[in-house]
Amino acid sequence: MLNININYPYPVIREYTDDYQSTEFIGELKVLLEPDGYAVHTNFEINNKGIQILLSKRILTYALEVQCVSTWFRKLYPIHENRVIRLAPPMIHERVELIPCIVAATSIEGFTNEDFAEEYQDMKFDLNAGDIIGIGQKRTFDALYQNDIIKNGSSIVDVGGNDKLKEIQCDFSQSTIKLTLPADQYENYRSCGYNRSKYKMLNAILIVPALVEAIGIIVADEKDPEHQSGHQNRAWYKTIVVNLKRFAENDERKYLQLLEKPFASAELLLGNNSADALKFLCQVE
Amino acid sequence: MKKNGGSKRKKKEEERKRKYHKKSNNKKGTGTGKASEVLISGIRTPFDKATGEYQISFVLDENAEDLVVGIRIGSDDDNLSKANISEATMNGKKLPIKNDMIELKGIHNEGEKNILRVKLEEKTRRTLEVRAYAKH
Repeated sequence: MLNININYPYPVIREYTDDYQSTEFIGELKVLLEPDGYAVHTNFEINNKGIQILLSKRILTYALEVQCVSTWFRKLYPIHENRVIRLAPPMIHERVELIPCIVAATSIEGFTNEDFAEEYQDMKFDLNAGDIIGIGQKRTFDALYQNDIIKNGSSIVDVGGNDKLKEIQCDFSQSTIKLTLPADQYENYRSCGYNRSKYKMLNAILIVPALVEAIGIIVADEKDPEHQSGHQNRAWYKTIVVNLKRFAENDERKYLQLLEKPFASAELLLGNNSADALKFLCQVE
Repeated sequence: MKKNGGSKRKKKEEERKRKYHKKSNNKKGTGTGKASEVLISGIRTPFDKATGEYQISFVLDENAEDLVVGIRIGSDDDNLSKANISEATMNGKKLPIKNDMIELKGIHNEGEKNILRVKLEEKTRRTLEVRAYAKH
């Protein structure tokens, strides 16, 4: 559908001036993670009177092409009055490409524009409905599967047991954080796990410390980008980053502040686990 | 309205060129014998419905001798297919076509603008990829 590197048989507006002398297409996009998926906020504008008139008459329309290689999802969303596009998590996973564009909504005979580059001056083109006449800057973001998003404290942490272990082990080198307990501790963990009221205490004992260490890894990556941990593409890493950014309302400064407080942030990720854990302890004789 | 400064535009243009030529050295050859790809920019391919011709123009980004121009047709799925060229002219003179490549004999200098008029066997208007090759 859209290929940024191909040459069209008619002038195409770009984010930089090329086929047009001074026309620039600004396609601002902001992706926010919401409880039911991703919301893409659009803010498109163009500094070309002729194109603006065609847009107002709905002969042309702004549009957003969304492509996801992992799920083969590809769709062109018409954009009117900077509408918000909602993308459900099952539709997209991992790298998602967003390309703002301007599309002919109806066929146009003899399309021309005063701002055409020299080579196109005095030329007229017949456009078909669906023809791309403007391509903005391509953006990408990483999407998570719905199940990757933390719903409870254990979703990105797997707890297992090992007969040969004498001390607890925490491994961050896989898609989930693997907590391995010595056999006797694992037995106790499992027997507690049958009792729902003990979940918050289990979180406090095992999951919170693991999350604190995980956030520490992310902090180190943020502080020293040249010596990265290599965990950036793991599900646990992305899930923590996405959720902390959500708590920070996608404000980079707030996000960095959350990273500076690993314990408080781990509690935040688990929905203020300490409050319920303490409540439970108070009830124990 | 925000305007780009000169340096910003130049940077973007360089980035565009880099992207466009990112597959230029895929070690699979070009189908043009010992020729290697020549960098070109400012490629434009408007289609003249009345004559059924594409007016293909580009600027050479390096010196080259005996230039060969190859055209491929784009598609919805990003795949490119070879374009069968039925006729090519430059300044009204017919250009030789060999292996569906247009030959531009002689010495060509960096910054030189070439404008060709090309007719393809494929009659409908298409998106095109244009590449140039030379033996340097």
